Amino acid sequence: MIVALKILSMRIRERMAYRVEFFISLLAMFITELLPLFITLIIYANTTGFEGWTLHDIILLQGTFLLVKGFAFAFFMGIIWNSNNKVRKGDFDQILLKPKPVLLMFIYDSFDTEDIAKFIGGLGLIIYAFWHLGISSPLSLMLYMLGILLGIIFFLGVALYVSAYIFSFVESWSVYNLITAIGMMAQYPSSIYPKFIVGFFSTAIPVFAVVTLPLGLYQYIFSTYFLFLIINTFIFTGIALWIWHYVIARYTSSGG
Amino acid sequence: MFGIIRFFLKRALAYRAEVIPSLISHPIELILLYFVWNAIYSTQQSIGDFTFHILIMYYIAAKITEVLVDDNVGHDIGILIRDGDFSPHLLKPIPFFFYQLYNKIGNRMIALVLQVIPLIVVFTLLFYPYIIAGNVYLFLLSLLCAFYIRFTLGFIIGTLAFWFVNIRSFNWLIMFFVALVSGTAIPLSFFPDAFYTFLLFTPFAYIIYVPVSIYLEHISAYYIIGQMIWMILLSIASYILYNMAISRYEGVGQ
Repeated sequence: MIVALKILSMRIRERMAYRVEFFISLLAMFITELLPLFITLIIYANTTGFEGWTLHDIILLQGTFLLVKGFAFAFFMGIIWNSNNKVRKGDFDQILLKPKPVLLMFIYDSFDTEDIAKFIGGLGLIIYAFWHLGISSPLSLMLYMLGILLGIIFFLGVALYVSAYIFSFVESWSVYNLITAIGMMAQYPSSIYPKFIVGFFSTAIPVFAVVTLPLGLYQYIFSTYFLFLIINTFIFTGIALWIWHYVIARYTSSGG
Repeated sequence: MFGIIRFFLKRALAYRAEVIPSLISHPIELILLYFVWNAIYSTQQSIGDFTFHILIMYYIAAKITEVLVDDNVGHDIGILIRDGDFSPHLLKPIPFFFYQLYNKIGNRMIALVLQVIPLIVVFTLLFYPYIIAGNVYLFLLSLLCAFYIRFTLGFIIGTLAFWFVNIRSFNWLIMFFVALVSGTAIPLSFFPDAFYTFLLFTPFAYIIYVPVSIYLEHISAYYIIGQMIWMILLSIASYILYNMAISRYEGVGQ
């Protein structure tokens, strides 16, 4: 943990060398993530919106997603871009030589300071939504945060699958679009999708864990579906961990 | 010219793994939009000129246009300058602008074969009842103009690297504007009237919204003239900015 914090503070200091550019990056990073929110605002300006959901409910949902995504992208999703760069250039060997677990070192090496803007932006949206909706109780807020933790675990699984894919195929940038597309699923109420889609994105790729869980737990909903979603999230990320280590064990340094 | 395009075709084919995620991500995005708008249209018949059927066709055409005009020249130029790899380009017997343009033509030709054609098949299978035969010929002409407009915008952003070195943020911003106000995310006519009119004076509207609306015959074909005006203006801006950048460029290396 101390190593992680040292590396993170080093990264921030590195980026602060170009201070103006860094702050523009933070702002740009935040703005680019507001696209679903803009679409939602336009939808609510032109129509009656989603049945049973007020605008502030949707802002809470999208803010939660942005917060989880921001945390994940700042702290470990960077392994995706790092996989692309290091595998292509053949620099991954340096990580393998370090005297700590490979995955941990790879994650430390992949911290992305700009993505903190997503996290802060998500937090801002959540505060704004709660300001209008009100907080029911401290316990519900704690359950909500527990749900957020599961969303982060889901994203860790995604990062590991994609990284393993890149290690296998040397380079792929379009996977980012795939993550964005799957992530967008969770940025709208799951009630708008047919059951088979909700089923698929609750089992095979449990992306609904990112927002459905925190919002459900916040409302004290303890259904079998939620238990199913929690177990699936752990299975999803557990398998991802196994696959990632399996792929790394067979890595033969392809760059140069 | 053809030799350069052929070279980039071969290089793009080396990374075939790009294709699979793209073939999955675009249909997922479209399926998502289908259900989002299906929920909205369950309480009303139409929004502006758009019925649910026409809106789905709009998104299908917009996705295909998006793939064909997709551009990362800004990012590429930024990397060349940041990593100190730009100097060899000054020695090449072809202007840097055209070298990058041919690179993009080769790259998008691969996208046409490996992404767009399979996507058309997938979209047709998934959304058969929503497919509308629009004005294909004018759409193709407008698409070519959109391709060039998107390229020059990327090129202009790329040249900023001569001043700012790290231009990641500019690339993100341009991506955001293209996503929001080009018509990829939502038809521009859904915006308030004054903002819609304003957007038609920006180059962004001519990248996705104008070609797709011409296909759907929602707007006049005269908008292609607007695209041509932007092509000229952006070419001039690219030329001026690149020459200003070159005049202050200093290469140091081994």
